[in-house]
Formats: sequence, structure tokens, C-alpha cells
Amino acid sequence: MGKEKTKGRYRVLAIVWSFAAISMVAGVLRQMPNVSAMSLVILVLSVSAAAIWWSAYLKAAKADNPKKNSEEKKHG
Amino acid sequence: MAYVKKRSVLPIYFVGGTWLLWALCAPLYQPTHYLMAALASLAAYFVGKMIFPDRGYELADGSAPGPAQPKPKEEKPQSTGSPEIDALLDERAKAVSEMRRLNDSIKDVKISAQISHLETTTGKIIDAVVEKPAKLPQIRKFMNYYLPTTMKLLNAYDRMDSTGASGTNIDSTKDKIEEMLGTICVAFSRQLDALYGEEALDISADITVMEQMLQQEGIGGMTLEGQ
Repeated sequence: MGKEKTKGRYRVLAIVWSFAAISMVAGVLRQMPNVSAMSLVILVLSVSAAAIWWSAYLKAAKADNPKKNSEEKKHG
Repeated sequence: MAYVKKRSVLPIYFVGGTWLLWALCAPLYQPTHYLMAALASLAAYFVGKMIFPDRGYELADGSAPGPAQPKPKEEKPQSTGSPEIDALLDERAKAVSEMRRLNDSIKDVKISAQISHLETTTGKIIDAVVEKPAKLPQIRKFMNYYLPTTMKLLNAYDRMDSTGASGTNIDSTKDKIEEMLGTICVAFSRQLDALYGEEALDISADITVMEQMLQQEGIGGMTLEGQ
């Protein structure tokens, strides 16, 4: 139950940070060719945050269902 | 009485959506732009909170889920004095809350109705035993095997259903569980009915004795004038 809750939180954070990263990509594209350094820094940070939360979510999902994963490996 | 609060995630998604919308429609390259986008997303969050408030559930009694309420101070259920009955009440609360969670999670209308039936019947069975603890041996198998196995089946169904995938294993298992749930509903109702077997026998005997006495007194089988 607790694991399920943590997984859900990671997913929400991953989705929100993905929104932020996409927003920053859109913002930077709209600034082209005069892209400010601050925008680039924020873009990198938001993409990193989204990547971190997605990897945390995937890790939690894997830990939540180890049996399924081992079977997948066997067949793969 | 347990209280479960389910937080709505939509307001959080609104925040992300607002940033995306802002980036597409408005400038986003100066600190003031970021500040304004942050304020807009904060406003979107609160609007989202108003439209999709957190949901609260009170467990262990028959009340329906209502709107969000402040979490009451957690109280340990009062001891009945019998450890077995206390354990039974604890089991009841756990089973009912788990069934409600599964009922919320499973979208199939028929399964949902069956889970509601199981939830009500389980509550009634345990209530009957709490009222008359002498009936406890009658529900031992129900508590130790039928109820946990039913929960296991429902959890398996929920897990398979939530994958959203279709395949021979998933579909056949879900079909088997669906089929079995009908049988389980009938069995739970029979278990509840069986708890009243002794009482039914007593009442039947009382009725027979009363009928005989009325016959002996010569006042039985008569109808009042004008009826």
C-alpha cells in the first residue's frame, strides 16, 4: 500500500516536471535565435528534474512487481 | 472509525498545464515572466482545488464517501472486553476499507455491485457475531479462509484490470474471477442466513406452541367481525 502511494507520487511529479520541461522547450524555441542563458539553465534543470522523477517512478514500479520483471527477463 | 483522505492530483496537473499554456502563448524569457507564470499556475492550482476537491472516506460504518472534511483526531476503537471480538471488529474494518478501495478502483459496474453486496454482507455477518459472540465458531472458516481468499481474488482482478492489457492469461483469469464472484455473493448471503438458523428454529417452535395454545383455548383460527 505504501509502495503504491510512493509510486503514485513519483508519477505525478514526473508528469508535472515533464510539463515544465516541455514548456521550457516551447519557451526556448519561441525565443530563437536570441535565447537567454537563464532560459537554457531552467530548461536543463527542468529536463533533469523530469528525468529524475521518471527514473524514480520506473524504479518504484520495478520494485513493486519483481516477479513480473523476472518472468519478462526469462522470456526476453 | 477510520478516515481515509484521497488527494486530488488534477490541481497539480493544472499547474503543469498552465506553464505549458503560458510558454506557448506568452513570453517566457525574463524573471518577471516566470513570476507571472508562477502566479498564474498558483491560481490554476487553487481553481483546480475548488473544482476537484480532495475526497474523504469514513470507514468501518455504512456511510457513503462525502466531500473533504478535516481529518478527525484518530481514536482507537473502544475495547469490547473480549480480545476475539476486538480482533473481529478490526478484521471487519480492514475488510470493509479494502473492499471500498477495490470498488473505487475497479470500473466494471457488475463487479462493483457485487463488491458492494459482499461489503454489506460481510459487515452484517460480523455484526451478528459481535452481537452474539456464541456464534463465533460458525464464522471461523469464513474469517480464516473465505474472506481472505475473496480479497485475494479481488486484488488479483484489480491488478490485472489496472494493466489495461488484454491477453489469454489476463482475460481468462478475469473471466474466472467474475464467474466466481457470483458464487461468492451467494455463499456470503447463505453464511449470513445460517447465522440466524438457531433463532429461526426457536421462533418456529414458539409459533407452533402459540398456535397449539390458541387452539386449546378455542380462540385460534377466528377472525374478527367486520373483517
